[in-house]
This record gives sequence, structure tokens and C-alpha cells, in this order.
Amino acid sequence: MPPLLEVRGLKKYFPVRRTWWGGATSWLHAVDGVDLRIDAPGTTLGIAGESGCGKTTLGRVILRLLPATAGEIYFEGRDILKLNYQALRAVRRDMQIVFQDPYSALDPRITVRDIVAEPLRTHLHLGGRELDDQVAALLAEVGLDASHIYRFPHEFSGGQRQRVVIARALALHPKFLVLDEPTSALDVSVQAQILNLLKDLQARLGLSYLLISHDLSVVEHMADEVAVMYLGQIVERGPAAEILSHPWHPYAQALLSAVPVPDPGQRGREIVLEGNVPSAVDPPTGCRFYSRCPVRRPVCREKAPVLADGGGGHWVACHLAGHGT
Amino acid sequence: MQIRNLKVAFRTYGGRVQALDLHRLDVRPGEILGLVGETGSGKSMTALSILRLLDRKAEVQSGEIIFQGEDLLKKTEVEMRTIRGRRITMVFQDPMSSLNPVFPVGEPLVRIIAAHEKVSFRAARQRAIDMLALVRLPSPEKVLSAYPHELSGGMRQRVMIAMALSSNPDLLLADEPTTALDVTIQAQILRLIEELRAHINASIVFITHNLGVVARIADRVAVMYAGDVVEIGSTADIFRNPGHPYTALLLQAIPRLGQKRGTLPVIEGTVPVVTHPQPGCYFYPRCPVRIERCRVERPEAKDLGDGHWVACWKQDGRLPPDNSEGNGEV
Amino acid sequence: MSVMDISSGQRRARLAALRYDLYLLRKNVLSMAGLVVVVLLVLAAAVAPVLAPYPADAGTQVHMSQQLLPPSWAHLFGTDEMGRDIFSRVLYGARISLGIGVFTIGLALLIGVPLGLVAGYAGGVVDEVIMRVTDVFLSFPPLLLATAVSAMLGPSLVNAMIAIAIAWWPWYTRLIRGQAVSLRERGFVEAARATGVSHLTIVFRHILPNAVAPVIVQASMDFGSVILEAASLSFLGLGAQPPEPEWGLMVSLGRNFFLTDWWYVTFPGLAILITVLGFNLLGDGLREILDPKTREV
Repeated sequence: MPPLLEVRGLKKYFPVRRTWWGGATSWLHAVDGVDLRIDAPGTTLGIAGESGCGKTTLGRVILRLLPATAGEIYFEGRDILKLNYQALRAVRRDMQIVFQDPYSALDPRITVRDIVAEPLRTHLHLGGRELDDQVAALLAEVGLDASHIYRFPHEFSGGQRQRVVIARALALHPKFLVLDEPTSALDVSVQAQILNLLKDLQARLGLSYLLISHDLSVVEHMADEVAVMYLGQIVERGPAAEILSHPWHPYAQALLSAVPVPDPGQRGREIVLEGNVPSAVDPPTGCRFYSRCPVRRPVCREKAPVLADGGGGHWVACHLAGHGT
Repeated sequence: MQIRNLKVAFRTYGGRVQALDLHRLDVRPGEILGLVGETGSGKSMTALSILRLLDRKAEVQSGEIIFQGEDLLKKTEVEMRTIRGRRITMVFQDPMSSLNPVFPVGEPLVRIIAAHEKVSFRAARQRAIDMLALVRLPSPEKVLSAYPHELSGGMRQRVMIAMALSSNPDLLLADEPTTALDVTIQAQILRLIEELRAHINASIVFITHNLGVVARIADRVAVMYAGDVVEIGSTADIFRNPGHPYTALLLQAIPRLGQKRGTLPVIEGTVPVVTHPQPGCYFYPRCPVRIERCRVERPEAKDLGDGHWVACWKQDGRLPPDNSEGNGEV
Repeated sequence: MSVMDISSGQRRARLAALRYDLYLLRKNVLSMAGLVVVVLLVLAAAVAPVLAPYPADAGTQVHMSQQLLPPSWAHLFGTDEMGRDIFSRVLYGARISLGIGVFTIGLALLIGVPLGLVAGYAGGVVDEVIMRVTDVFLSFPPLLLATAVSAMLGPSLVNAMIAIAIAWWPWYTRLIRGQAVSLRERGFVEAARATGVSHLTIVFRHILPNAVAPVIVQASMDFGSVILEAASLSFLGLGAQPPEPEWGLMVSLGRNFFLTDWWYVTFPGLAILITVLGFNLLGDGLREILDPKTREV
């Protein structure tokens, strides 16, 4: 059986400056050669990284919400980048997305019923009572009361809106969900509710998740596998427990150490990186982390490291892997 | 600074909303006080009330804010202007919107210094460069004449901190200063604030929803819920020995690195919007250890020792042990 | 849950929203005044035959014996050089003016809104072409363009309205394009795309209803401007032709008598002023209602 999702050499460039006849003169390398896969159904791949690392773009390109510049995306063995409009529509029943901002993710002018019903109408052409039963069932699935069905999005709290977003994503019984920062707009006490809901749904429905998050604690809580991104590339990937306890890549180490832990006893353990994330417009040829790396060597500037298996499915893209800090 | 019985209400189309009903909050000289709470808990409102920068829809109903022996709520607008930006300064979450995009970032900084120290612009310029160097900005002369959009988020926030410190204030209000930043940049800023403590003598009120940040930076922590402080104490006490069920649950509900758990303990329900002030505890509907008294009578803050105050009727508000599993497990 | 419940539930939700709109409108005195003016205008237009003392005066009737009488109880606004009752003519003029507003704005919206939606949602080359076309139209002063088109089509009220609509639609295209561009990036549009909802459905179900608010505001304000513009064209002889009781035309004809018979230009002029003002005030009020910032409770 082919893996549920396999991405090979995926690139997404955005034109930045244009000449007056429309040709681009420089490109933003948002996603620059990403390989990843989700083998087993019911598992979660976490994509961790900071703003501008391309993780959100990656999620959009995988769902073909943005056209890819190059690469292949196999969903259950079929390259979805080669599908025509009709075939793509069929595949879309199996792939859905949960957005970061539940405020903009819901059309403010239609009721929750119509929001959740939209996929059912589009694909199953349901109507009337059957439709209402399904909508009520979906709302119940995500822990919302059926009495909420005629309310407008602004009548809900952030957490409830995110539940509506999840209900809409589940409407067609998808196999795979992209979760784009699903809790970062929510309060701490609500975040736990949503994370539990997502885990519960995964266990019951056998869903696979691609979890995009800047919050490593959330990634660790949810993910089976983790990929750490920096400037459009994956610098390290492997089993979550392994990556988040023994990261090899100096960026992953710094990122992990910088997560503030709610324990005053752990103060001052962070590795503070110098400088800022460089621009992804026309990135350097060598290692992209070179300018901030605390353990850089001359070779890092000249040659870009490739992602290589360091044993046990733990892949890292660093010349110094294994003998780093 | 001391705040007593501060009540602030908002007029909305849906009626009056009680935004703040703050019984007691003290800020000690030279400390970093972490003010934590969720959306709508009133933490930002507290800062705006101190500076008297509430918008027109908000109305201070009662209370006092004593700053260096004077009640800020009794000051005239003209008097407040000599306090704002001088004795009390503020750093906001989004530095991009607090910097005027058409001026170089150094412009307001030089003006503040010139006005505050009554020196020439040339001297103020030199001081401004020193301030930018103090917040560890590389090549401060260049930053001084840079426009906001030319700086990264982290650099802008450093400029804002320099600006807030330039008048040598007694109190610095930092409202979610690192929330808009990436984790690695946030780490830089937090370390900067820690390093700056030696150079400044201001008290800092650090407002954030991120418990990890508070644990990292604060000396004392005040936890806010529905417009009031429900617990205040030393950072160690709050995190190791939370006295209020809300604090305890909040701490359990965050996923933590190195402590993978199946399901997270949750606080049911959502943060309330207080339209009708109630006699009881605002956490009552969500509280797992509530008793009848909590519904009818507002709990008073009690001292558990060492300045650890908890507003809860349960003796010390601790959760039953079965609820706190996972807290220390690896 | 039965189908009955659903429609009534939906209806209840809509009704609550509508009541809230009216509540916001009531709170604002000036926009209320605007609404009153507009309602009165519509009423005047509707019952003009009943209300007008001399309905026939709106047409070709002449009373040479009653030329240029000053206002009196018999002729509230006086009479014109043909002896026609100006009050009756102003009342009938409300019909024409409203007709001009509805037809012209309607035509401009019909051209402008779909083009703006397509430009904003599709982006790329399509957007570029449509927007450059609007640029061409917008580079002419609107009155000049309308005058030119009107002169080309021949002087008549209908041609004047078409001419104004041709000068007017690019504003709506721009306005709605800007909305569509920002809405395209919103989560709910992406979600609809990720679900496989067709572009047409997305545009009409999600983009249009969310983009239309500022257009409604603009259109209601433009109502006044369009009436004014039609009056200007009539004034120049390019719009309504005598004996039509069009306000602009009446002002134009009356200006010869301005120094001796002040009432002739004054009352039609006031009618234009009040109408334009009424629509502007109403538009301001609508802006407040439709602004999502004032909506948040």
C-alpha cells in the first residue's frame, strides 16, 4: 500500500519584484525542496518552525490551494499536482484544512448550519432533513449543541468557532487534515479543549494530521513524527520523541531551548541565537542557518548540507551532525 | 504602586460590561510583576487604567490607583501628561502600529529625550544612540535613522523598549511585548530585559497570556480572571504551589515539553463576560472544587504566607490529588 | 428537527439582525433625518397624482393667463412662464429624479459589480485588463464624459442616464475589487476552495455578500450625485427635454427669470439640494451600520 501522503522535492516560489512586462526578477523561496511523508493512517506529522519558514505555505500547496512551483505530491499513490479539476474535486473530499484564525475562517454572513452544510451540499447534494441531521451530528461530534445551529459566527467564542471549523472540515469524512496553527489564536484553557478534541477525533475516525505549529509543546503533544523547518527547508525530521528530546541540528536545539517553560526552575537554559531570520528572497547558496549558527564552520557557507539519515529514522541537514554542540 | 477596588465598565450595544473589578494589586519597587490571564481577564485594561488611556466607551466607576503616594485617578489630564511617557511608560504588543511609519524610529526617541532632559537635540541624539546600544541594537546610528519597516519585529521591539526606558521611568508597563515575536526572538528580548534590570530601577509590570514567559522573567506573578486578581505570589509559589483552582488548572492545561500526556486536563466552559456583577466567585461555574458559599459570596483574598494571596473560599483552593496527575510526570 | 423549524429558525436569526440594524439607525439622528427625507421623497413620487393640485401641469398643459405668479395658497411654489404650477411639477419631478437614480445606479452596479468581483477574485491578467479599462474611464472628469456620451447618443433623459452610468460604473468596480482581493485571502474562502466549491458559488455566496456593504453605502450616497448630474445634463440641454418636469431642467429654464421671479429656480433647486443631502445622510448612517467594527457587541 502506498503511503497516505508523500511529498517529493516540493518547491513554491513567489515572485517578489517584477519588471514592467510582468517577469519576476527575484523570488521568495517560501518552500524550497521539501520531502516528507505520512505513512500510516491515524498518525500526525508535526511541522515546526518560526514565522517565514514556509510551513503555512507548505500546507496550502499540499492542498493545492496554491499552485506548486515544482515537485510531486502523492496522496494515496496519486500525484495530485497532475489531477484535472474534476479529479481534484473528488480528492478534496479526503483532504481538509483547519485554520489558525477561527475568526476569519467562518463567513460572517451565514449561519453555522449553512457553513457546516456547504461541503455536504457541494459533494453529496444533500438537502432538507437529511442535511440537517448530518449537520446536527457533526456539531455533536465536535461538542457543540444542536441549538447553536442557527447562530452566526460572531455569536461564538474563539474556541466554539474553532469547533465549527473542525465540524466543517469533518463533514465529508476526510482521511487527512492539515491543521494550520489550530490553537495559536486561542486562550490557554481553550487550547487544551481543542487539542483533546483533535486527538479524540483522530483516535475515533483514524484521521491523519499534518500539524503546522510554531509551538513546540503543542507539536510534541500531538505529533508522532516531527519536521523542523528553517527558511523553506526541512533541517531535521524524525520521530517526535527523539527530535524533541535530542535534537541534532543547532537550529532545532536553539528553537527547543527557547520555548519558555512554565517552571521557574528552568530559567536561563535557552540558547539565544544572534540576529534575525534572514529573508527568504534569493537565499544564500550554503547552509541557510549559517548567519545565525553558533557552531558554524567555513564549509557551511560554501556547501548546503543535505538531509541525511543519521540512524533510526532521524534525519538531519547539517555538516556537523553528530559532533555538534 | 497600589491599586484598590478599581472598577471599570464598558458601554456596549449589548449593555454594560464589567471589565475590571480589581480588589487589590500592589507593585513593589524594582520588581518584575507578571500579570497573567486569558482574553478578557482585564490585564490590558489594568495597564490602560493606570495610564488613564481607556477609550471613551470605558468608564472608571470607583477605586484608586496610588502611584508614589498620589492617586492617578484624581489627576487632571494635564498632570497625567507629565506622568505618561515619563514616570510611567508602556511597551505594546505590536511595535509596528506604535511607531509612526513616516518618521525614522529615532525621531520620537530623540524628542522624548530632548523634552525629558531639557538638552539640545545634538546631546539628545547622542543619548538616543546610547539607549539603542543599551538594548543591544547593532550599529545604533544606523537604526536611529531607519524607518520602522526597515527593521525586523525584534529590532522594533528593542527600539520600543529603548524609548520606554529613555525617560528613566519608575514604572514600565509591558503589554504582551513578546507575543508577536518568534520564539527565538522572544528569547532574545527576555534575556535583554533580564540584563537591563541592573541598569534601570523601574518596576516592570509584564502582561502576558503565556505562563512560560512569566515563569522565565517575573519575580512575582498575579493571575487575573474576569477582571480581578485571583492569586498573587512569588513566581516559585505560583508555579510550584498554586493556591487557586484556576491557576492550578491553567498550569495543567498547557502541553509541556518533555511531559507527553494522553489528554490534557481542561477547564470546561469559556472565560465569562461579566454583564451583571454577581455576588459569588466568577470562577464558580467552571470550578471543580466549588462549594455552596462560592456561589453566593465573593471570596476575599487570604494570605497563605510570604505574600502569597489567594481569593478562594476553599481553605487553600487546592485541587484534589487525582486531578493533578501528570503535573510532575515525565 | 423539521423543515419548519429550520426556516423559522433562519428567519428568526435574520429578523434579529434586522432589528439590530434598525436600532443602530435610530440611534443616529442625522441618518434618521436622511431616511425620513428619502421616505418622504418616495412617498411624494408615489402619490404625486393625488397630492398635486394640478396634475396636468406636469405635462403639456399651459395657462398663458397665469404666467409667473408668485407663491400663494393656490400655487404654493408659484407658477412658471407657461403658467404651470411649480409645486405640482416639483412633485412629479420626484418621480423622474428617483427613476434616474434607480436606473442609473442600477445600470452602473450591473456593469461595475460583476467586473469588480471577477477582477478581484481571479487576479492576474484578468484583473490587470479590467482595472486598466476602469483607469481609462476614470481619467475623464465624470461630467465631461457623461456630456460627451450624451451628446453622442442625442439629447434625451434615457440617453443622459446611460451616459452617467457609463461614467459611473468604474467606481463600483474599484470598490468591490478591493474588497474581493482581501476576501479572497480569508479563511472561509480558502476553506470553500479546499472543499471543491465552484468558483461561481464562492464568488456569489461568500465574496459578494461580504463585499457589498461599502458598495451599498457608496451607491446610496451616489444616488444624490447622480440626480445632481442628471440635473446638470438637463441644465445643459443634454438630458430631459421640455416640457418634462425634471428639476435640473426647471432650474435651467428658470435661471432666465431668477432676478425677477425668484421662486421659479428656488423650489426645484431646493428639491435637488434636500434630496442630495438626504441620500448622503442616509449613506453615512448605512456606513455606520454596515461597518463590522461598530457591529461587534
